[in-house]
Amino acid sequence: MTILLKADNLTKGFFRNKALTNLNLEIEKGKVYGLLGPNGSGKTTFFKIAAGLFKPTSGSLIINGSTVGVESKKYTAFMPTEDFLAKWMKIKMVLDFYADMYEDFDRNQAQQSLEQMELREDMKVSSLSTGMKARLKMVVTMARKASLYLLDEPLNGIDLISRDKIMKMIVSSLREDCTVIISSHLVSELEAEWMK
Amino acid sequence: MLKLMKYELIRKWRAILVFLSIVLVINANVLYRVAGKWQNTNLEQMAALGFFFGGLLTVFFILFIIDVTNMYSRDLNNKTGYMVFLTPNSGYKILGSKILTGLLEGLLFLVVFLILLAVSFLGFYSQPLTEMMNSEVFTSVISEFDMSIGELLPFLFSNLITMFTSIVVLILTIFAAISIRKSILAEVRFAGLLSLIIFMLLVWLNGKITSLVVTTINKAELFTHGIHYFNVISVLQIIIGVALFVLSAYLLDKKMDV
Repeated sequence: MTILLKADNLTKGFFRNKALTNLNLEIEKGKVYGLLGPNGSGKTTFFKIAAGLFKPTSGSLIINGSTVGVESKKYTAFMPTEDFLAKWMKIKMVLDFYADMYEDFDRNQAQQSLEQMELREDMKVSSLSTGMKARLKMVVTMARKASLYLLDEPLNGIDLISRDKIMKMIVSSLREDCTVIISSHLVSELEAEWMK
Repeated sequence: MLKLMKYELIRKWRAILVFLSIVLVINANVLYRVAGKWQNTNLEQMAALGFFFGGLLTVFFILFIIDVTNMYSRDLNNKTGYMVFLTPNSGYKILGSKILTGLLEGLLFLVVFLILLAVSFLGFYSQPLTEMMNSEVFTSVISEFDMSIGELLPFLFSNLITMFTSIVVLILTIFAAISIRKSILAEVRFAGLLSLIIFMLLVWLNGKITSLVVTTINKAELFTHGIHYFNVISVLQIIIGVALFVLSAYLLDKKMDV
């Protein structure tokens, strides 16, 4: 068993609240994990620390042997719950941006996935519905040949048809050498989708 | 870094183009009214144009500072900033790209301003300008500056360098104030006010350091030995600028939640 991610006494506080307290966790290479818990249990905080967006208050987080930073971002693909894709861009430019910024981005795969997700490159991000935006986020995240995928609540607020498509895309993008962590507070829904 | 700059520029080129088109239309309108319709003397017309260009330069500068500040704070305060901060780029590269994009934008504003100035004055008032420059009043004012051309050019050049470094340091001071507020003081209330106070403190500190160094060098009478006042300020501003840049990039990389 090879450890891809290791958290040691990871703690994160905001003002007087502790979002994470002494989290100890080991994630192995080549496995799919579900990070389950109610709202406010620290799932998103953990993901954001792993993605380099938040800095831990104390403790450490090691991914593939290095602390979170420029190096770890090269092989970590994080899909946040928020609408983080620039609204002024067209989908084509979002793909251009990912291709420019990430060496592991597979543009051909992204283009094929766009078709499956019923999205077109000439669509503007600002004109997309919530479900379409979620599908686009998934397309660009999974089109990276990353070692670690962090998918934060990928099914949250998504219609049934989009859910199905998103889950199919996650499954079809899995590789033996990659690790996926999917978070959800809707345990039963994630289980149901996964069992399909 | 160039790739980050590319997307900053793509994002704002339309807005810049619209803004500069509006400036062009306003400039044409002012010229039409002043040079075409006014019955006043050439000197009065040129004075009016001078006021217009003075105002235009002020507007350019204020908008430039607001825009460069927004480039950084927008990414820090909006979720769309994740697009940038998730990429495998260090804080140094992200900040560097924003500063260089800002400088390119400033350079564009300056070039447009100088072209409009040249076209307006040389195009419409070349004759009265020549007369003015040959006039006794003008020559006597110029003669007050006890400098030959050989001395004047380096003087102007070092002035320009000092202005340039001061503007860059002003931007870096704003970035540093935002970075300190978003990292070390992230959990303190009244964020906006705090940023402003930190900015003013940094400006005050910069002024104190500059005046201390200049006074020390002045006492040592070094300025008389070929070291010009403006060169010292420029070097000092570069050192302060580098310190502010390193501080902001370090905070962005190691201490800041985005």
